[in-house]
Amino acid sequence: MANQFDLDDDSVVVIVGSGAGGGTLANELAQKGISSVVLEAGGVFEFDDIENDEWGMFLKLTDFDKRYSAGGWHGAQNHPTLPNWLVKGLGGSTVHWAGVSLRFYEHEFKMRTVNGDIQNANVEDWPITLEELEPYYDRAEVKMGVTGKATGMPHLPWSNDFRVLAEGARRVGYTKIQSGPMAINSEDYGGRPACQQIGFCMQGCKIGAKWSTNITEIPAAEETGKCEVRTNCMVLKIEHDEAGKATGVIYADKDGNHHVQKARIVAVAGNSIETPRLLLNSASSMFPDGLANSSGQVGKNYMVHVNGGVYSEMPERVHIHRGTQVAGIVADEVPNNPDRGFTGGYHLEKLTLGLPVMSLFLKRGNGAWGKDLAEALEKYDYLSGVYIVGEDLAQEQNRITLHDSEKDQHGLPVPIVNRTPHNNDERMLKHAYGVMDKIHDAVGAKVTHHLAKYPASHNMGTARMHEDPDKGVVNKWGQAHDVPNLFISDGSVFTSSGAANPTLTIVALVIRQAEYIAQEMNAQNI
Amino acid sequence: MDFETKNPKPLKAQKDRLSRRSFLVKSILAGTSATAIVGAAGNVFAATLNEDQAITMLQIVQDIFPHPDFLPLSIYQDVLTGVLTEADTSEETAKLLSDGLQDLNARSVELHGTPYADVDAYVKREALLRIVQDSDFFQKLRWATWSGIYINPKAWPQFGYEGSSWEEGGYIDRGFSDATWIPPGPTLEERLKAVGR
Repeated sequence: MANQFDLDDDSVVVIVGSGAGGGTLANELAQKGISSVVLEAGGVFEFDDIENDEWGMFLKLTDFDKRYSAGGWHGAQNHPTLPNWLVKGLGGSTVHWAGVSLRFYEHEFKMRTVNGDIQNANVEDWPITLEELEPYYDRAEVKMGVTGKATGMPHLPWSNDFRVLAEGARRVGYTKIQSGPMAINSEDYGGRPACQQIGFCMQGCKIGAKWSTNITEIPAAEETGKCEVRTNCMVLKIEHDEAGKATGVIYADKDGNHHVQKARIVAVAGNSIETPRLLLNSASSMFPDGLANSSGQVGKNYMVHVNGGVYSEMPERVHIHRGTQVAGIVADEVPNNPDRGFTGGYHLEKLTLGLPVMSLFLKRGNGAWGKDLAEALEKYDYLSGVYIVGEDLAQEQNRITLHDSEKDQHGLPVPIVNRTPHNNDERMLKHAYGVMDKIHDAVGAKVTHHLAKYPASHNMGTARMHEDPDKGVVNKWGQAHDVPNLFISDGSVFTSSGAANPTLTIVALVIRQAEYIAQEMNAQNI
Repeated sequence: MDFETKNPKPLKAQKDRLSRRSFLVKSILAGTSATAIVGAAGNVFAATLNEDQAITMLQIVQDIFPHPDFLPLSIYQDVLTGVLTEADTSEETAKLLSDGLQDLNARSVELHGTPYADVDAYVKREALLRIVQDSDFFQKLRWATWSGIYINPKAWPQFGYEGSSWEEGGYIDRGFSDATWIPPGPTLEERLKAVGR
């Protein structure tokens, strides 16, 4: 039974956001008997709202709140007001995520130790290791229903599109080729059905075979009576007392009325743009540069993964639109091997694009039209391709800032997403394009297209973890160095991006964080 | 690609512009006469856009995403009808289109000595459009054409794109892994074994 908590109830944990971080935290706390109020800026998507309509769902799910792209990447020109592809709604971006559930590699937690000082980057080690996180990865996989050994669920069957990638990869000598791990059921699991290869994972899974917090963690949390979810409630500011402890949040409800929800603890999980934005907007006389920002790192080190796409016309039909969108991963290039001319590694992930999105991304921007593009699209059914997911180095200049004058519907400064790729990104991408050319050539590709970076759905690093309060915003539990009862519970805490899609790591970190919160509450430390 | 011959655009031999127009209205708009569309309701529109302009726009939308041997002309006619209908009720749109066409034709006359629709080579028309591709005029027509083709279920079958699938139970029993020209993936037994079962 869903409960309701009083605005003055200062015993609750207020959780900002209901996605991978917020939704998971609410349920983990609820299962431990800890009460929370989840404030979700967006509304609810029901199963009836989910359609197998790529463009229709893009318009329906996408968070179109005003944001600007800035800096030296093509997005600043090609999609100046859509730097990111995120969902605002119950479940957050777990509604549209593809389900890829990769773990970080050991070296990805200690990029500074492994690679030393990298020029023009701000790379640091995480304050935790793979070994410390492994038990939580196991628990995250069981919770989410990730195919693989933790659940015993086999990886998904191979689609045509993945078989093309796998065979090409095999012919050029790669061996780490798998159709998982995916948080998409290959068998009935967790009260949810097995995948039917519908092909519209990123439009919201119509049958619930994919883990999303709106159909798993949130209802489970509400069921305990220990969690209240308020949708269409946008948190505007975190308040604190004279001692510098968070006391609650100011939020606007669906009618724009402002309320203050008191809290014992505030946990922010608004994704790596809204989270630092909220901290910056919560500046006060005690915290003039933004809440929890004595390090000056809030909003900085924004990472999105080195990414790009490679799609080729194959000699025979592929039917790329049939089947799970991203159940096929080649991991041979993930290890850190500076001999390749760059640090960090990358995954190659098979990725279905429907005709609507393929026609927008095969070429980019205002110039995406003409005979060449039209002819390439006439071979849509012969296309096969991948999404490149590589380590993006932290840089201070890549950051979320607030607009000087422009305000959103709540009167808060609009965020600006600044990004300029590091030279390492360019070298890695060039390598990955070269590898993909070879893979596709090996299976007889006729024409190959290199696609530029997409609007980012993987957003990380704007309130990063660091042992040293001068170099990071939160400690290894995601607890703010400056404000002991303020936690960051999303990908903002990532110290480095790794080459893994971030969701599984967010969930593992939050399971671990919930244990710590419970322990510290019991000890009356917070 | 047999683009130039299939592209329905003015025949150079026809010097008489009126008869050319009459020909085009009959053959290109296939029963939906430009006059009927132009004269439908909007005086504002009628005052700013004429048949020649409609014909030029039909050429432009075909040049933006040309699929001459692939899609029926009706797909492009529907795009044009949509644009004209909007112009009919929006003075702003009518002016945007009219001004854009005037600018494009002026550039065309300067470079090639003839209005856009009479430029005979696709590459020359494409080059003209590339010059104006960042304009609101061009982008309006580009998005209209894009919508009329790539998010139009009527056009999808030709591309082999099958649209919504959940009603049919997805593709698990309908060919998600039916390719015979590449090796199959692992069997269920092999996949189970890989996770210790």
